[in-house]
Amino acid sequence: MSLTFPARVLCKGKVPMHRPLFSSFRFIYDYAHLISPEGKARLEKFLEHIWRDYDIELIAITTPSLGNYTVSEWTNMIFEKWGVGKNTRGDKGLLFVVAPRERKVRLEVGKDLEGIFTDAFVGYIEREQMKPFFEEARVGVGVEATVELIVSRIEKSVKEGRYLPTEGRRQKGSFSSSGAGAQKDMDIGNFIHQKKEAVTEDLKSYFCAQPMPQLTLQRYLQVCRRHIKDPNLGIYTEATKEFFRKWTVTNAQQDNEMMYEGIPFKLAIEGNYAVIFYPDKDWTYSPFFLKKGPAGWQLDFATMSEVIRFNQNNYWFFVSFNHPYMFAFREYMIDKNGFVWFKYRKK
Amino acid sequence: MRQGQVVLFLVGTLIVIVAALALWFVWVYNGLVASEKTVEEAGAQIQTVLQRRLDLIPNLVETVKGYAQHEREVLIAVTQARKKAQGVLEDISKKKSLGKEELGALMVSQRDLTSTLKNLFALVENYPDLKASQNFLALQDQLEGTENRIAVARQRYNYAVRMYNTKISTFPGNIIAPMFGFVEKPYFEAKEKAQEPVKVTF
Repeated sequence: MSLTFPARVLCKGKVPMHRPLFSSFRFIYDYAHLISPEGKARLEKFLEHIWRDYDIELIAITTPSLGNYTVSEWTNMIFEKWGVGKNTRGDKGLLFVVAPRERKVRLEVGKDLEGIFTDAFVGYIEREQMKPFFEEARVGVGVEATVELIVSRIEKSVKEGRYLPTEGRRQKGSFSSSGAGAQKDMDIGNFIHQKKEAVTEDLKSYFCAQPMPQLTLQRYLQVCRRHIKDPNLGIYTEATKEFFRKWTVTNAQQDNEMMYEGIPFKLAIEGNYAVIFYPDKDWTYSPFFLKKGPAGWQLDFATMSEVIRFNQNNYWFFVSFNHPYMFAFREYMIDKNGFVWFKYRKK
Repeated sequence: MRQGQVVLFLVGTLIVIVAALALWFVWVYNGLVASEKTVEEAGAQIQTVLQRRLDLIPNLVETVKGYAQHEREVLIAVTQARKKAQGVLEDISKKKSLGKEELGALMVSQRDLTSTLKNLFALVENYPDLKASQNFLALQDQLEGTENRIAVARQRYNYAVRMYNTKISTFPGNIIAPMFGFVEKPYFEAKEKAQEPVKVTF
């Protein structure tokens, strides 16, 4: 995909000044043809959930050209003309614009969302989450990964009582956006693969397999804190190293892992397998799988990524029970959607 | 008898015409008032976002100070320009009017502040640790976001002024405007355009 996209950008497709009445998608408008059909379908579903669950209308537009406007002017113009956020109880719109030719990305924030999506936050997710994906020309995945951070921000705000999806009132005749948000320069498809710097030998021996599973997790959190991207660390199993070589790791994802720091956990060990999980926390805290090798305990992200998925609220669930780590959840109820109910123990 | 009817008819017609004129008069007058109110609201929004910009600066100065204490001149210049701009903004909100003079003073004070900020950002180039720190990056995002808000507010203000000025200078507004002291309102121009590393719009 990354190789074919420059030719596709040349296809002209003008962005209309009014939201199209008939369109196959309601939230995704890919005029620059950057996102695959499957990617679009998945994102559309995701964004619809956000609109339903949180009363936030996020529209994503890719445009082949910005005309003579700057990305900020263009985004603000489209925000008002399309009435982004008009389908919510207030001005709760988000407009995400990708302009590959001008190498610009902007996320504009509607008036009633300025409190939770500050300019600094928007700048941060663009810089630390979106950019690495976009540079690999993985636009659809990049938008999705960014929306995930947006969701966890909303979830947090809802929990802290700073955002109430059911509140808000339309003000007639006023503007929907006062120009909040952030823009960034991005070379889309500049790098085919993310450059992952190797760590020094000293660090390598520090981040080796550990004698206890919780120590391995501790080292992993240190890796995240230091934004280390090197996949060849001793704390990972061989399959995990292979997985991370292909995976795009961003600073924002690593910052997000810091939420596990200092959280009380439960440890279950059976033979060479261990699970660290968080029965006192909600489903945004997914478990860690560890495997014992000859050198010690190693994190098994390869299996985790295969059998654990996250829904639109960032809640984790199993898509497969066919793996050696199921033993840890034996005594808990698991519903047909794969969610583990730690509250309900089996007798 | 016949003559009386004619007079009555004429008087009646006159009353209807006068009433229609009065209604029309009120309608045009209300249009002008509404238009003026839009301009005032847009002006207030400009002041809000300018204040937002000023509020960010002490934090910025503190952050830069942490890495570059001995660059005192530049930092002091920024602080002084900010203080001056704050004074102008406070004067205007006390006066509650945004005439040509006030707008002029506002523009000058903001432009002075912008040029000191440019020096500050040029200086930051020499401190890679500062430039890469999360705190500074966040401040830069906030400043850029605020400057975009200023651009948006200014554009909306100028649009409202254009609508209003057109109304009072064309028929029927040009008849009614002088009677009630509606005068032309000044535009808020931006002289300087985007400069790296931070987009500055004054």
